[in-house]
Amino acid sequence: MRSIAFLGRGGQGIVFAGEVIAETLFEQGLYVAQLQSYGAEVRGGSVLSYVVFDRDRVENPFIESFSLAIVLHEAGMRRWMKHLEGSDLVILDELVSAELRNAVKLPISRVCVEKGVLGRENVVAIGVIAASGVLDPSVVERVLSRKRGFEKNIEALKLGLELGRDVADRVAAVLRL
Amino acid sequence: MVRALLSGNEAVAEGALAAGCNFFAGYPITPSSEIMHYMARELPKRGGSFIQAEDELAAINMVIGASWAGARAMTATSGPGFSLMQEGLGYAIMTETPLVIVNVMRAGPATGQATKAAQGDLMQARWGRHGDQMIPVLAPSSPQEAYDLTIEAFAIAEELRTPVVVLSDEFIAHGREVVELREKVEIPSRRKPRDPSEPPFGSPDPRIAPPMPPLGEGYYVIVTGSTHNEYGYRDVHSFETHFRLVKRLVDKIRLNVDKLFRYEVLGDDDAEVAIVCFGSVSRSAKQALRMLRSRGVRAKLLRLVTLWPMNDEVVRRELRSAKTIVVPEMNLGQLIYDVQRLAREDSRIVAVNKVGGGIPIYPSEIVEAALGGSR
Repeated sequence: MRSIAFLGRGGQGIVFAGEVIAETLFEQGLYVAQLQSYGAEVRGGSVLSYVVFDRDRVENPFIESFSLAIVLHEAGMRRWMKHLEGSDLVILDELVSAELRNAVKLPISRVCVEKGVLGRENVVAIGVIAASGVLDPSVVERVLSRKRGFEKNIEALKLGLELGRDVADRVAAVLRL
Repeated sequence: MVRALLSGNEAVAEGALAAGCNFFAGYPITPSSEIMHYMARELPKRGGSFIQAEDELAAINMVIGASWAGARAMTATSGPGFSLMQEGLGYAIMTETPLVIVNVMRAGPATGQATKAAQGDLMQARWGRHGDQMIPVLAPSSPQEAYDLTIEAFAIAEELRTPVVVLSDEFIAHGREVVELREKVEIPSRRKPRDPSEPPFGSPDPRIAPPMPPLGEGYYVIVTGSTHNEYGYRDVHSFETHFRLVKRLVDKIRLNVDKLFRYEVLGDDDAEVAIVCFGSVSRSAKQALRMLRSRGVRAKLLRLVTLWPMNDEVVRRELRSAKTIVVPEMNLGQLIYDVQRLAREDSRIVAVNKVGGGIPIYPSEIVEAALGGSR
């Protein structure tokens, strides 16, 4: 059993990212469980979404740490700090100020600003994971093609694939079943 | 068999459609609304009817009307709406109207926390109506079970002419998992009277529901929430008529307990530690069971799928060897009353209660409760 979590604030597409990951892994033939936690508000507030996946049916989706967590905004952090501390690997956007022994920082939001895919940090993050080979980039593309904003999302995915190259081995090590 | 990635709410809707549901009336409420969205989209395509009612009171009464008109009818709601539907549910019980009602639990009372899971409506699902009554309550622990038990709920409703509650929660409702959808589901049609002389509200065997005359097919039938005799005539004075009616209505469910009671047991037969649970919490409980057994603790898990009627004998038997019984619930303690009633007297019963904020009960908390200070 492995898990991938996204944390951030409302409006960043955190739940969307969980959906894309879940659908991708499902189409890759795995059993998945996708959960999220958010408030009533659409924007702002802390949001967590995560996907648990396995070769067999997921026994328990209520996990206490993640194999991989990607944090796109501090708003999502405080509430889940224990989970993050216990996780195998945490990727922080470079604007997130936090010190975790198991974390690496990546310039996810900066890439979005510089390359003109503003607001698609979530899809860049998916690309970072896909760079490890655990997500098949062609399946991710197929899943994204069913959703809104496809063309820009493909651009963002490619940026993520590039950005993820340096951490690909570490990501693969924590996510491989 | 088709595999699909569905939320618990979508799975309920798929289950209802597979079971032949052709009428849905409801009023949107988090975290149940997606069931309604799904039915609004799908029912008209399949020749069914969907109505967004003006409120929950209207919705449940529309469902009752549709059922009497011959439809397989359902509604879905959450705590505040479930409270509003209680009066209608009582009427459905008294008039022996088959229907399925899904309550997707959120944290209450009142509006509470709309987006956060809870299990605080267990007692309400059993006892929410006034008067003497009993209806089946089924509790899924995953989207797969939400699908299967919704189908099951329709079968029970039709067979026993009763409302059936499917008690889900926000975690199941909004969590997406892989669901295996059945290709074909056969649910027997409700029995009609052979001729108008067969009483629509009386049965020589209380375990068998009387036949239901569909409106508009030539049967003259009086449908009333007041005490009535076998032919539906009101009798709001006599002891005999009232006692016979409510006794039969309760016996119809209670005496079918063997048929209605579903449960799951995992682990060691001679367990010293038992975990008793229902619904989404069972997922953490299963992992906790594995953790306990890997530490050499003889442990078992008893998961109730049917929450009502209760099979006392089964629960008593399954808890016989347990010295410690852990009852994790996303409420302040409701299932624990059954455990206290049915466990052996010298057992140590430990409650794990946690509700609000969308934080589940974690396996480690159940393990800790099971081991107490001895860890």
